[in-house]
Amino acid sequence: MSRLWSLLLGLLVVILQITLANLIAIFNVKPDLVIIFVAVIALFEGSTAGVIWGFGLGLLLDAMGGGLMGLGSLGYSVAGFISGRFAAGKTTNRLHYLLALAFSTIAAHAVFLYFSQPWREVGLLQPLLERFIPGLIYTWALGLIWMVSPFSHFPGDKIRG
Amino acid sequence: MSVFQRLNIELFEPWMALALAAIISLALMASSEAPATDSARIRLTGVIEIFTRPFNVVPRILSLQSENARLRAENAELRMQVSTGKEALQENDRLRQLLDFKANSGMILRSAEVIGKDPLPGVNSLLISAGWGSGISKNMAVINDRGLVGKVARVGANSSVAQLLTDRNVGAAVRLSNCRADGITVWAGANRLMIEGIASATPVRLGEEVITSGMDGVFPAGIPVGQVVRTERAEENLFLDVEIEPAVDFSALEEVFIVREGMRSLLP
Repeated sequence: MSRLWSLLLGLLVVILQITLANLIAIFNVKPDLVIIFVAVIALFEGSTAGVIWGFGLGLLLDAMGGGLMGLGSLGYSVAGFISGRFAAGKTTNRLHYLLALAFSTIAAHAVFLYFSQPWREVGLLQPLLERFIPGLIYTWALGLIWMVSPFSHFPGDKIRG
Repeated sequence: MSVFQRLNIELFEPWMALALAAIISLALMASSEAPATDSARIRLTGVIEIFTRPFNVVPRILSLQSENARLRAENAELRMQVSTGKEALQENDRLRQLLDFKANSGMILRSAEVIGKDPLPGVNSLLISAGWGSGISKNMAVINDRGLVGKVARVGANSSVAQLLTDRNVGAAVRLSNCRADGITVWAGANRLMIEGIASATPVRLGEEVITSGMDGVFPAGIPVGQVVRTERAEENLFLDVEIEPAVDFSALEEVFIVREGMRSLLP
C-alpha cells in the first residue's frame, strides 16, 4: 500500500472514529478504530512509522475533542511503538498481529486512563470496568474480525502454508 | 563509517521517535490552554470538520424512523399540555402584574448539528456545526429539548467543541427545585452525576427535579439538569450524597442548541 493510500485510509479511520463509531457503540462503549489502524501500520512498517502515524492521527483526534491536547498523540504514539516491536518483516503472522494489537491497546488505554484522571472523582475501578476494559475488549473483537476478513494479509502465514 | 553508523543509530531510531513524540505531547498537554495551542487546534478542527460532514448523513438516516415516532408521541403529549399551559400562563401574567415582577427574557438559541463525538476514551465532548460565524463564543451553555448538555469549550469559524456535563472537567451550579438547596454537579462515572455541597439536613426527595441555578455565571438559570435518583446520608459527613439521573440522553445527541443569550431571571 502506498504512503498516499495509507494517509487517506488513516484520515478516513479518524473521521469514522469521530462520526460513525458511535453507531456501533454498545452500552456507550465504542471500539477504537484508530488503534487497530496504527497497530497494523506499525506491525508492517516498524516502530518508528508506528510512532509517527500514532502521533499524527492522535493529534487529529485531540483537535476534535474537548480534552487535553497531546493526550491522543501520546497514547497512539506509544501504541504504534509497541506494535512495531512485534514487526517481523516477511515472517509477520497472525500471532504477531494479535500480540501487537493486545499490548498496544492496553498501553494506549493506560495512557488515556492515567492522563484523563477519572479516579480523582470515582476511583480507579469504576472507569476501568465501565469504559476502559469494555472498550479494550470491543476493540480486540473488531481487530479479530479484521484479521479473519479477506482484507487482511500476513506474509508469515503464507510462508508457513 | 559515519558517527551515526558507528553509534548504530538505527537501533535507537524508534526510541528517539517515541521520546520526541512523548516530549511534544507532554508539552502540548502543558500548554493545552495556551492561546497559540488553542488557535492551532481550532484551525485543525475546522479542516477536519469539513470532511466529517458527509459521514453524518448515515446516522441521521438511521435515526429518522425512531425520531419520527418519538416526535409524534411527544406532539400528542404537548397538545394536551398546551391547553392546560395556556390557562396557567394567563394566571401567571395576572400574578406578575400584581407583583410588579420584572418580565423574563427568553433564551436566544442557535441550533447546531452534532458532527462528531467522544474522540478518545475518557474524553466526553461533542463537535458541533456552529462557530463564531454564528455568534457562538466560549463557555456558552449547550442544551437540547430535554435539558442541559454541556458548555462550549472551543470555538472555530464554522464548528465548535462542546464539553459534556458528563466530562470530569465540567460542573454546573444547580438548584433542587423543591427544597431550593444549591450545589454543584460533579461527574460520578459513566453518565451519572452527583451534586456536591448539599447540607446533610436538607430534605431532598427522590424524583426531585434539578435545574441550573445560574450562580456559576456560565449556565443560565432554570435549565433542567436531571432528577434525584439516590440520596445517602453518612453520619460523619456534613454533606449529603445526591445522585441525579441526567435529563439528557448523552448517547443519543444529534442536534443541540447553544444559548446565545440566557434567561435573566427565570427563578425568583
